[in-house]
Amino acid sequence: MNCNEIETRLNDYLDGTLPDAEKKLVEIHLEGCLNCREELLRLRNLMAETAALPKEIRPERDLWPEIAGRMASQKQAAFPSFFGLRPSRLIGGFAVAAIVLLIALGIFWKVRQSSKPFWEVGRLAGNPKVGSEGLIDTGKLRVGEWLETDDSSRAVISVGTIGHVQVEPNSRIRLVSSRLTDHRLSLAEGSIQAQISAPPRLFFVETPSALAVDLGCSYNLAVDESGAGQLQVTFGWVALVREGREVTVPAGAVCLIRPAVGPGTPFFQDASPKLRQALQKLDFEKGGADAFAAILAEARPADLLTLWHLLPQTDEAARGRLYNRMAKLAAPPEGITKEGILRLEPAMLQLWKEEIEQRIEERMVFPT
Amino acid sequence: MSAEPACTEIILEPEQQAPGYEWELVRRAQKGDRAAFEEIYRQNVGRVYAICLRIAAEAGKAKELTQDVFVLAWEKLPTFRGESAFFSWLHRLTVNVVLMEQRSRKRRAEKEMVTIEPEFFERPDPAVLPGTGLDLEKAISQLPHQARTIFVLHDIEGYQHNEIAGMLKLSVGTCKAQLFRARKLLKEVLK
Repeated sequence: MNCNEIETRLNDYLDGTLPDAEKKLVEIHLEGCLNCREELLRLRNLMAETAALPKEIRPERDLWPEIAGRMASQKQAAFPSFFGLRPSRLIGGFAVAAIVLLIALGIFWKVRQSSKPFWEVGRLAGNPKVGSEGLIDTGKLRVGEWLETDDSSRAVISVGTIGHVQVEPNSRIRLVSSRLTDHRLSLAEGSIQAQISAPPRLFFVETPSALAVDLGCSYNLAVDESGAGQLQVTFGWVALVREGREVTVPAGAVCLIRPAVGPGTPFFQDASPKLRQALQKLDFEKGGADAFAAILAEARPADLLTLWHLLPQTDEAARGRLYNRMAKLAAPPEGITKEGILRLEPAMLQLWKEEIEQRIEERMVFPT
Repeated sequence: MSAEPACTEIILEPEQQAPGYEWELVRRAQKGDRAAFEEIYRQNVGRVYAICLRIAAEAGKAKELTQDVFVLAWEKLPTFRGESAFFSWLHRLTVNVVLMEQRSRKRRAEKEMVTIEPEFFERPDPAVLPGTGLDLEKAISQLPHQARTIFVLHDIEGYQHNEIAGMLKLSVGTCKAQLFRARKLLKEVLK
């Protein structure tokens, strides 16, 4: 953010109406900019002086004599009595009552609409839209409503009290659910950056290819017009789910998603290009023996999670080769046998996965 | 996101902090007791006049508006049901009277001065240019009228942007932009 962008935001900052994401950006800018800090001080002083203005100002002369004079010619309003009305007035009264009833029904409908849960949304750039309305500065995204950005618009959504989602240009996203245990968006197209600070499995993003399940993380999720896309995790873990299959993607890793297929096999961004190409062929292009061989040849100890995800996706012969390669890259934990893995015993698969995830966690905390 | 004070959170003056006494005055005035209404006037004229003066920015006009407010309050008093504090009701009535007058003044001006560019009405008086050392109250009085109205309603009277936008038939964004403009002009003047 530059100083010009900061200037208008300082007002919202002091009024307490700035979205958290922008508030942080403003504070970062203020730390390094003396001019803007002085500007903030001037604004703060003005607001303090304004708050100290007297609430009362007495007119220089008593206005009562003039008011009393005008009151003499005024009648006070009175509540009508039905019983004192002539029939013609009574008919008019019923017409009025009917109109009032219609208005009340309209208000009821409006109130019902407005009582739907909502998340606050703020404009970051351009002209984002909530429903058919342009988002001028801040607004509400109610359950069922779409937020749309064009090629020069960006917006930020506050995910209840657990985080926020930045919506990038050319995106369409809908608020599906805002319950304590189910904060859910649907990304039809475009890209988002999500930052969530909450226990796992409270925040979900639906896409045409898979459901992204927050496991305590920050991530970028992009979907193109065909529904294909990719998830890139920058902190923590995210699960991708489709039709009972779940893959877990740690920080530093990417997972491609495709409609009708779901998530591919997650891989670390620093994996070799050959491994990544081979995975894409295997996951989405019916890649055969060559792709599988390339994966085995290119895998490093850091790619064990990638190999683990392939275990249930392969036949028994290929699974045996996978086991051998994995065991060579790092000895399996105690309690795991080749036979058990070949049979896809859930307890063994889970144990091995937890062990691999533990090593990844250690690398996140103590990177080498 | 929103941490703005609600307009109903009005701090009552000590003499208004006796709801029983105030309600008794209101009840008597509703029955036509002019002495009780005079007491209501004396208790509230300072607050009402302050709003009228700050928005109208003209002492003569503010006095007229204050009279209008109390005459209208007398007329409408029987419709006050005590669902809110009396001053909240009177406060809203005051703002409505001032805004109605502004709208009719603007319509008259548009009829009489159709050839003048609209910005003419928004241009601040040359006297508010920076460095003139005017105090805050005077600087507010010389803001462009829409920016002034919004500044007074938001920063002094505690209304929220959505309420002001509704009253002035503006978008919330325009309302905010005008408030920021007012603050910017005031900062310049008070430098």
